[in-house]
Amino acid sequence: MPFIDVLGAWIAIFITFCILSYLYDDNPFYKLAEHLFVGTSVGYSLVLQWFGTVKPNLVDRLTASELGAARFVYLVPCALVLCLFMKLTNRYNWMGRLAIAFVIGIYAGQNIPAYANSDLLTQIYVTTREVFTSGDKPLSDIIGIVVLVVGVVASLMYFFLSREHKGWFGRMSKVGIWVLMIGFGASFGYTVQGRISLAIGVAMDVLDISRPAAEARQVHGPVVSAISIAIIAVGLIWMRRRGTRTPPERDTHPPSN
Amino acid sequence: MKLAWEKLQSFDRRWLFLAMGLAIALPLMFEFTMPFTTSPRVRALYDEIETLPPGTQVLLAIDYDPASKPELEPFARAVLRQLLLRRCRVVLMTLWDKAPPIVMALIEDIIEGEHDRHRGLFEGRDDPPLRYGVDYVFFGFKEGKEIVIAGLGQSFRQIYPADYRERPVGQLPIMNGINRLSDFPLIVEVSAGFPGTKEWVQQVVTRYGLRYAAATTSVSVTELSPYYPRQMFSLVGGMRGAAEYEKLVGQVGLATRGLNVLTVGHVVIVLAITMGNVIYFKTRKRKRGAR
Repeated sequence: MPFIDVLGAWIAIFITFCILSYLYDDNPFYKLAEHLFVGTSVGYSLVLQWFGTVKPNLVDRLTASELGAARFVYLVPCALVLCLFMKLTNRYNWMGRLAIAFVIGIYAGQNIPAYANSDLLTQIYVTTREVFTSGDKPLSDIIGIVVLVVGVVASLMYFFLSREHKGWFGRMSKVGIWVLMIGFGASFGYTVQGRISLAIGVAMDVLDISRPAAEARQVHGPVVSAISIAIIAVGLIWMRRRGTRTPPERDTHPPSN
Repeated sequence: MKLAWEKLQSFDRRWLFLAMGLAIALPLMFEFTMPFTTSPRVRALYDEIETLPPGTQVLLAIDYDPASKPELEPFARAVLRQLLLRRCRVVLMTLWDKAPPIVMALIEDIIEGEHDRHRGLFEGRDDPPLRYGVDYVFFGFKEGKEIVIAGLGQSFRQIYPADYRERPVGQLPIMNGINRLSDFPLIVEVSAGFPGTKEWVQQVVTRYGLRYAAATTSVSVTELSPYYPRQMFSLVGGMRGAAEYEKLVGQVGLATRGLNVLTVGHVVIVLAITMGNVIYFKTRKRKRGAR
């Protein structure tokens, strides 16, 4: 592993702890890491978008003489892009709406039929087929189908607001609330699992567990982690002491009555 | 006692962060194993790949960024190993701009590092080194999100006229007979969000009836569960699903190790929720009594 990669790993560990320091309080170490992240992300994305999208799809095609006059059709998307930038001006910002209308139209045309097909029609078909398909089914499947159908109907009734939720309708909508709550609970459980998994991944990185043994021997993750924590802790203590010694800023606003 | 409950209500949450940090770091330092079973949702993909004949072209879409690596990378590595063990040909692509370095690392570590050097699961096998363009290929990142997915359903070659190394698709033997997504006998997607599994199912899987399996982050599992098993025959969820897959493939990896820690982390969360509720009800009861 070349030294530059080892140095990169050290910086990564230090910046990881800078980000984690936000859990204690907002501080300059966190701000440094945050700004670095935003800057590198924007830089990376810009370069990638230019060389991966704008250059091959627009610049290269506009300058390709073998395409003849047909290449000038690419001036249309180019004009739409320029229209988008007109949003930055006060006088011509209406031109941006042309490009936005084009994008919304394309997305709506692309997504509405796809969504209706996969999330509505196919889901209804699959649910009803489960219910009406005959054949030997184990008891667990039958219970599952009953729960599915009752859950779907009750949840829909909860959102039916044109009738007062009283009597049998009210009781069914209460079942609907329970079904929704169980759904939210499952989502919360999975979210917790996901967040802890990410924390585990970070811990594996800083403790060298996710690195091959040869690389781990060069990086010394646990040692670098300890040094990083020490630097940040000393920095925070120093800044806090310095902060308390600094006289509070004079209030320039007049007192309000 | 009265004061203790009052004090606990204004408990500094930073102690909880510290407890969670220790609950994650300590089990990682002192390794231990806990038993777990594999679910039908995960086993479905493993069984499907085991039935594929050698030489089958499989599309592996890597749609995640470094932020989701801990949850998804163990699965991506495990499934790639299994595909290579079955001598399948792997076509890699991504719709995430930060994914190409991840895919390059996968190629370097699994294909060149493990398969070609006969290490890990490939030890003792006499497979020749894999050839780029013949046994595997990477098509790189393509901007356009669901529009690209829909386009791939109509013509793969039109969306990807060349690979990551700018080689025209016509010069890649691995792409013989592949014109659109429906020509792939199996599509596996590793997804961390948008554009990902939902867009694949909506734009092409349902429309063309593709044989499709997905591995997603834990957060997305409940949202995507209705698609299983009719619109996707396998759904591998988060680190738990990845650990199950590692177990099936037969190589203990980071997900299996992380799963044990995950259990300890969950215990801390459950204890915190229980404690929070107990404090809430105790103080509420006392406030009502005071009235």
